[in-house]
Amino acid sequence: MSLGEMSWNIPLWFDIWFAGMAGGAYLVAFLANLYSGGSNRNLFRLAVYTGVPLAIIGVLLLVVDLGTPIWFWHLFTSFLPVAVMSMGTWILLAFLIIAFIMIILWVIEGDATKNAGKYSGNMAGTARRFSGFFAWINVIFAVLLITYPGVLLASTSQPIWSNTLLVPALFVASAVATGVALLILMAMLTNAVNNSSSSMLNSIVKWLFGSTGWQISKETMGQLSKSLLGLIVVEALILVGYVIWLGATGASGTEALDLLITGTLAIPFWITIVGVGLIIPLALLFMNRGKATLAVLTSASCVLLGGLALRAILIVGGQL
Amino acid sequence: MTEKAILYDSTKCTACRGCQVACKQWNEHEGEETENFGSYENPAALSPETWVRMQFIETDHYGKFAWLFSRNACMHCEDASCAIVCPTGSILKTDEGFVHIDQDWCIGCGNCVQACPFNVPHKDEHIGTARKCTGCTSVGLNRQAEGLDPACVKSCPPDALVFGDRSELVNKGNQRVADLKAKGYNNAYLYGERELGGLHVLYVIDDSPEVYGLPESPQVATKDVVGKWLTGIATAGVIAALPLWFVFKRKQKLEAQQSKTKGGV
Repeated sequence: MSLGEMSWNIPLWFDIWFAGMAGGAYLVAFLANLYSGGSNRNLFRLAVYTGVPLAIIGVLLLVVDLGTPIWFWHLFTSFLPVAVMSMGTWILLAFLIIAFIMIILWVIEGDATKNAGKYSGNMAGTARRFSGFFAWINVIFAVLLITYPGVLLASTSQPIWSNTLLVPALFVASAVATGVALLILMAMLTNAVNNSSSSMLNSIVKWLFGSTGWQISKETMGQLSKSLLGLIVVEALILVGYVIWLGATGASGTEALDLLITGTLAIPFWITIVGVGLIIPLALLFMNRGKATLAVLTSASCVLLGGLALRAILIVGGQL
Repeated sequence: MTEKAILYDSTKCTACRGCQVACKQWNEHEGEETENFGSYENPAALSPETWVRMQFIETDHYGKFAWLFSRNACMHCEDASCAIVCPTGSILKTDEGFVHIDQDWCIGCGNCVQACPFNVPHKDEHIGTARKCTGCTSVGLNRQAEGLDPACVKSCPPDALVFGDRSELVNKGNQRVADLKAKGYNNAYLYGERELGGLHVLYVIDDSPEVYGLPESPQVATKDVVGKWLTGIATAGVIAALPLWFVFKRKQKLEAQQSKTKGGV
């Protein structure tokens, strides 16, 4: 079957890649902020500001990929817990709505901090408390958002997706890894903007993050690099488990595995998923211990490309 | 309402493909340009415009080379994966048990295409929706509602296709299987009596399902769906608890301990 004849096509690769990055970045930044006692609030904001547009682009791509895009709203006329795509639609909607509310609350908080006299009572504190509450709620939707694409593929009759329980696990690990990679790249960009002489860029970033302390610290950057290293190891272990399990699921599993590791998809599998997505970033991060900026930048870029390749190759593999 | 079914007896089928033509004619589907791929089988696969086709199987059959015929079309499963995964609820079942896609509500997401264990629904790239055999229950072309047999059944010259009450056809099919076994076809089987909660297209086959290209034990696509969600969520939990905790929390704890020690000194 050629690419053009597949019912799940290129827009879906990007949709679940973007959704994974958005949810993964949210989860990581939320936990980083939580574990560090609230000192990574700007990283968390960066995750939301980056993730929301990505998730929206992902939704638009998904709509474009529908046979009848104009009828996309039919998805919102029913709530079907067993139909994974129905659940995915509602999860994505909830994630985006809550993220929007959080952004509005942050803007109010920033404004109230700057212009205390404009609001009655402690508006900044109230906005902060509410945004904190919604952040907790949305971490549930972020986890469901990164889990949903794997479950969608696994709940089919294509052996490469459905013969094991590990496709959701693999997609979650990859989503979190790509989320961290995205945060690293965005933090580098944000810091570069912070240090730039452009007053327009500076004012945009200050509006988003507040007037002080919005730079992502060196310490946080180092922690993100270390996290990426750990996540690549987790993803690699799950990939090995998936390959072993798939191969042990009878004739259909062996056929699917052959397609992946020795057949039509072997070259892209080994070069992009394993080579670019896992081995190169692992080696670079391990050798440099996350200290050299170029190594971190390359590793994060490789993880992002590997994440896209994982989705593309598995989606194509299930339809050959 | 009584459950209905189609009984296909592969041992009576002559593969004349009258059913294919009748289906095309009744449902007003165009013929498709195909290429010879070394078999009388034509077309090579189901499509949005081909809802039933005959399969030609050349195989070893009880120690002899045989040319077997089988039917490839929607099985109208009781536990229909296509209907279960459909995110808009566009795939419906008639009271008689036949599964059809509401063409006015389907958004063409392709989920049913991936979920069907028999690879039956296909997305029509021109119309944009998924399409498949309806058992002649399409709106405006509903033969069953008029008390007529589906077009494929009506056209079958050797009565290899029969339409009727499912329970009666199950009995008839089992009787035929018993006859075949008595004749030495020990692997004879009535496919569809129990598979996927009971199919509404039953197959009498004189060898194992595998020989006839049918999945031995087809599964509902959403089997273990809870387990699949939990595996993903648990992975997120492990990641949150191990690498991220280790990097972000442990460091903070160590720093707190160090400052305590310094303070004490």
